[in-house]
Amino acid sequence: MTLLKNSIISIISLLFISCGSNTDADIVDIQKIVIDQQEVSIYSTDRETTNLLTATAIFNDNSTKDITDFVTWNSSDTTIATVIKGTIYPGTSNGGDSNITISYQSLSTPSILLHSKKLLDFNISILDNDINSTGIYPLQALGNFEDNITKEIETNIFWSSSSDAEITIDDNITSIEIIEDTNITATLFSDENFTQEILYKVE
Amino acid sequence: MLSLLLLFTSLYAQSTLYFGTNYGIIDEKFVKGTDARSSSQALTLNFGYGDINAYAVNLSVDIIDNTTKIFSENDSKKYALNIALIKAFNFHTFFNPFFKAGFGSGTLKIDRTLQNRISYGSLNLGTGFFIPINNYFDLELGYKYSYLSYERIDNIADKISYKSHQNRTYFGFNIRY
Repeated sequence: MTLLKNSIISIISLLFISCGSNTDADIVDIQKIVIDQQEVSIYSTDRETTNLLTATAIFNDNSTKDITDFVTWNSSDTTIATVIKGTIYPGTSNGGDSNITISYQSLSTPSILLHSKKLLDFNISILDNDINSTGIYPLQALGNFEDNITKEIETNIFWSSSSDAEITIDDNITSIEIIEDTNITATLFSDENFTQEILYKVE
Repeated sequence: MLSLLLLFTSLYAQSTLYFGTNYGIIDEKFVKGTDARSSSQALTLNFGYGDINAYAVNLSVDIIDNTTKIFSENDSKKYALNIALIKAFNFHTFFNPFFKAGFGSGTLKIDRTLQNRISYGSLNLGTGFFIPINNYFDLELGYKYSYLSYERIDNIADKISYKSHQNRTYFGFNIRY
């Protein structure tokens, strides 16, 4: 009987413990996601472009969070450019526009414009300090773009040589090993009509 | 192995099917994800097989009211399914103390931008006593503790994990045959 009485007292005590108060949580929910930029532009021969595109989640308490690395970036024309975690990788086309959006599950954003600046013409050279002897030398291509800017061509360029000279790319520097007179050719955007050629003579 | 054999032997000894229901009051204190607290009520439907004086296996369905806003502005009732092993004792008085242990899983609707439902798992421990009225009918008075681990809330960059301690006192009845 004593056990029953103690048990009843215990359970009634627990009943009072169970009657706690209600305290709501601070509910933070996503209102929308946005791309922070309205329009961006790149050069069609840049290797990659970072820090131009960022994405933000806006919450119902007006707080924000950088979500650049967590959303899926979509490009309407991947031959112009693709975007991964906010980094823009130029496509295989020489200039043009692409619409960029982001999505995450059921959320998506209106598109923004990504403009790839067109390469108009270019020149190639071999950086040998006018030695004209055998050896390994860097190759360089400088392009003139639609905005009258001249800058180094980093991608969408294919180097070839008429001899057995070996062309290598190491740490994003393209080099050629000269062993004899060589015709060096650079082709842009896989377009046979968009090439430049120089003759390197070994003295 | 021997203890398992004893358990199954005991389970089949004077076992009966039973069903019942109970009503309880719940206090849920969140310990991860938020420090919110929710006091609500629960209705449980029990189905089981076992001996009121020894072991029983119990399957229960919980319908838990939810008046507190935890995950969204419109959290729904919780529905849970639990399974437990009950060990009762017969001290030849008019009540049989028992202990129970088990686990379960539940779900509730929520109203968030990225999620409209959240699930949880629970580990459950309980104690109390049965008060047999006759061979077919008994009252049940008990206390149940549950540790709840909720599915993560997705805020894209953050995945928030909610965990809580739940204390419940309840009373109800069972019909055995």
